[in-house]
Amino acid sequence: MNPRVFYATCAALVGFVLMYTLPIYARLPRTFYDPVARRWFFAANATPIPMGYVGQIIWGIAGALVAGGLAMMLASRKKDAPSDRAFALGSAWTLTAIVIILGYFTWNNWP
Amino acid sequence: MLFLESLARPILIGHAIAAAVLVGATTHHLLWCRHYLFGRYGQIKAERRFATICAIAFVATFIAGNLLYPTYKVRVRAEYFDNPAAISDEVKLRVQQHATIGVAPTPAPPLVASLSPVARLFDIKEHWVAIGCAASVALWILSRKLHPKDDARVLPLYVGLSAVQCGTAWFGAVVGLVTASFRSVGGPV
Repeated sequence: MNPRVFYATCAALVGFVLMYTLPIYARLPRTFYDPVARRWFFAANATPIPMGYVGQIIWGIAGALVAGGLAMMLASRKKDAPSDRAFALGSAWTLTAIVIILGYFTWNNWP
Repeated sequence: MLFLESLARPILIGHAIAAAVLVGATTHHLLWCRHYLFGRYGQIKAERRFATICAIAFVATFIAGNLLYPTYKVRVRAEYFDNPAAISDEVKLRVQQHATIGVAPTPAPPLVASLSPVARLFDIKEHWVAIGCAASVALWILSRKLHPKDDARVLPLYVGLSAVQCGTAWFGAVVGLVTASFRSVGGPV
């Protein structure tokens, strides 16, 4: 049993959902693909046709890698076995982050 | 010609097949996980296999959907859903065709709105499946490296991720079918 995997998985998922949402919420620049002009560009906003979805996924993957890597590194320094409370908090934070972000996108795009 | 537009139909069929596998596998996985809540770990080998199938099917469905996305965005969304004139013309043509083939004419609606709400529902689906795909990969890692059988404290996260994986797969499949129905069996309005 390796608790580092637990911490890294929780952190990577929280990192993914938060960083996936951040460019939309904070209007940060991301990669867009314009399917009509067939070109890629980096911007915070674009007209309706260019797709910012790929850029958003890249932000999410970067967030997952950074958060998961940091959690793995910090957990490897910890000598004690993780407590029951740590497992409960990790699970709760991860699942809550997912539910909140699903709700955020549903609310923002509701027909 | 848009990116992969000439291959859009075969990719769509592959996307649909992968999605069907995904919905079946994630439902199976969630149903098998319920035994863990009662401390029964008899089906662990099969459950782990399903976690792998779910992750592969989710990633494959997601990649196929992303390859189709440029075609959807221009040919379906911009040229149809967000274009009330195109929808209005299609309604008129269908009413004419009802008369030609002799079926009882359905009265044309007084006002043809755009189908932008359908496109927005599709946007919600995109975000749900992106997060579901991440949850599916995380669940697969847990199934291999830190299974609830080895440490029961992982169980809430494990079953929760299985539920997220299953819920997002079902939502994606249903919204995908609803979206596709608007130019086929459902008609434009």
